[in-house]
Amino acid sequence: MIRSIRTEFYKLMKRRRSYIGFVGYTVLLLLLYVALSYSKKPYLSREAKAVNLRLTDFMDGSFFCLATLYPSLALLYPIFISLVAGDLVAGESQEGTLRVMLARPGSRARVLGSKVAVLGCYLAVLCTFCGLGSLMVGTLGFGVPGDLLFPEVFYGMGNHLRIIPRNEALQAFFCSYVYAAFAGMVVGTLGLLLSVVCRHAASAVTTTLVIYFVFHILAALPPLRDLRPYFFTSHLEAWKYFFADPVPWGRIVRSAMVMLSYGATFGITAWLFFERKDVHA
Amino acid sequence: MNAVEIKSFHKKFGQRIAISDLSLSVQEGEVFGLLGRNGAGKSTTIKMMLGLVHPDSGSVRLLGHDLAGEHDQAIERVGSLVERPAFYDYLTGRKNLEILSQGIGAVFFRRAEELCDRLGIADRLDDKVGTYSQGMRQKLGIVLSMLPDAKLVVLDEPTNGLDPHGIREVRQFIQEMNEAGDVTIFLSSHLLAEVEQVCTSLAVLELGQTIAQGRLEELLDAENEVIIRIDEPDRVEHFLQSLDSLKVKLLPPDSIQIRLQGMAPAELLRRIVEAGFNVHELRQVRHTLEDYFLNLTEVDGDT
Repeated sequence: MIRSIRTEFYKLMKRRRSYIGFVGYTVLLLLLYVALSYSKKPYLSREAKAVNLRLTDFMDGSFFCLATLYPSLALLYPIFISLVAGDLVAGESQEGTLRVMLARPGSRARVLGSKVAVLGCYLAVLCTFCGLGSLMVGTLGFGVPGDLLFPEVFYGMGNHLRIIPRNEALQAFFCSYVYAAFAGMVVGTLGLLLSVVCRHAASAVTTTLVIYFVFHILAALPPLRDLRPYFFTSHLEAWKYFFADPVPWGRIVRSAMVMLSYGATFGITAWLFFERKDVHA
Repeated sequence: MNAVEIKSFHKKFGQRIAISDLSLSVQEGEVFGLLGRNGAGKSTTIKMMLGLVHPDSGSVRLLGHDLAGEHDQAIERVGSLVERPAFYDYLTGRKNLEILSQGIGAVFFRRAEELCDRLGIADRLDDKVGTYSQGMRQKLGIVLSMLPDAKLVVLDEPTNGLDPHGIREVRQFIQEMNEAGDVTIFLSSHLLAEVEQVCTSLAVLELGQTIAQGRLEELLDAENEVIIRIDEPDRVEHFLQSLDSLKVKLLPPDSIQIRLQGMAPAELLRRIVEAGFNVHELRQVRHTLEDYFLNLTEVDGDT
């Protein structure tokens, strides 16, 4: 199994497509850096203006990290996961290498298991890259991270502007990325399931993204508001609660459990399909 | 021992029956050819043999192990090239061989290099496969099928994309591997002349069923025909039609073509002479595998 994982990781790292996520994040960080550097907006919000909290007073490594969190984790992250997960089985099936792999000793469960393990590692590396990248660009561009100005209104958590002490803020960032890496596995296993079912990687990637965004849209529709807790997309963003005071651990654990259930369901279904899959290509 | 033993394979895709009650066996050390028209079920049979496609019913034993119950033991020393050669284009030939054959260690790499050298691709092993020509990919696929230490090699259209030199090279390579290492070769091909030169036994598939199976010589002999030049051909034709299972065709003005259906030419001659006819000449018509295949599949297709 260890050898399979190592091989899968090697393949993943040698494939250009795997680096789209890293390139995408780098571009995002640079764009945000430019945007925040040249922003002419003196105040972050009306509340900030009321108490004369200028953006420049809080613009440092911490604030830059916060500014990158939402676009990174809620928008780009699912796209990058889908690109990799959707390709894992369907890509190999399309290239024909899947049939070569499956005609060698070793169970199909091991093949799929090693792909899941590598996907997990990839997400961890991607989140680490994104977290450390934003910290580095923020520190180099705006100075050493200090206390964090947290506008609750932007995250749907209230109307206050809170100042989070530096160490707590860094801790919250760390926890957010750890949670994102974990929760990303749900999108990953969904992508993997579709990768098993679809013949073409492009179909698997597209369908994963369509499902992700459709769930987001459905959750935003007022008549379906009651169903929101059952959508996995609602729990993907539970990382934001690490910035709440006090941290609602119960809510975070509940979200994590929902994600775990979804991940397990997608993963087991993928495995069942994969075991019965006829490999033609 | 049989290297391959398929029992009652059956497979449906939707409402279409792809394979129906297919059984065949291949003895160890043989070069076995699986023939059939496009869509006859050759690739599906091979994929079911390797566990890539699940049969609806039936079983297969490879090198004495049941594929369903002892997958790893059954497949451990089986190499394969199914349809087109498949590689990771972004990796080198050497890395592809290592990853796809699950081979490790100095012995493995030495053998891989030897095989590549034999097929003339050793100097490109460190190049990315994406830069290979189709012929080189095919050769690398054949090398892959022989690794790490295959005792049974399954080759689906192994000479696809090769030029005449390449075809000959691969044919010789297959024969050498079979003779030197006691490797059983199971191959399917549309190039019947190639199959005839390489294979020792074969099976013909038609509409997912075996319509002929046996040693190549025996199958061709069974289809042997003779032409006799004779007095009173009309009466001889009438006489021969009364004999068991002979197929007779009059060739005016004085000859008759007879499909022997297993009867020895000497036996036929004896019967004709004993019946009081004068035979001037008996000429044996040797059929090629192509004749045999076309006869067989056309007749079967018509029925």
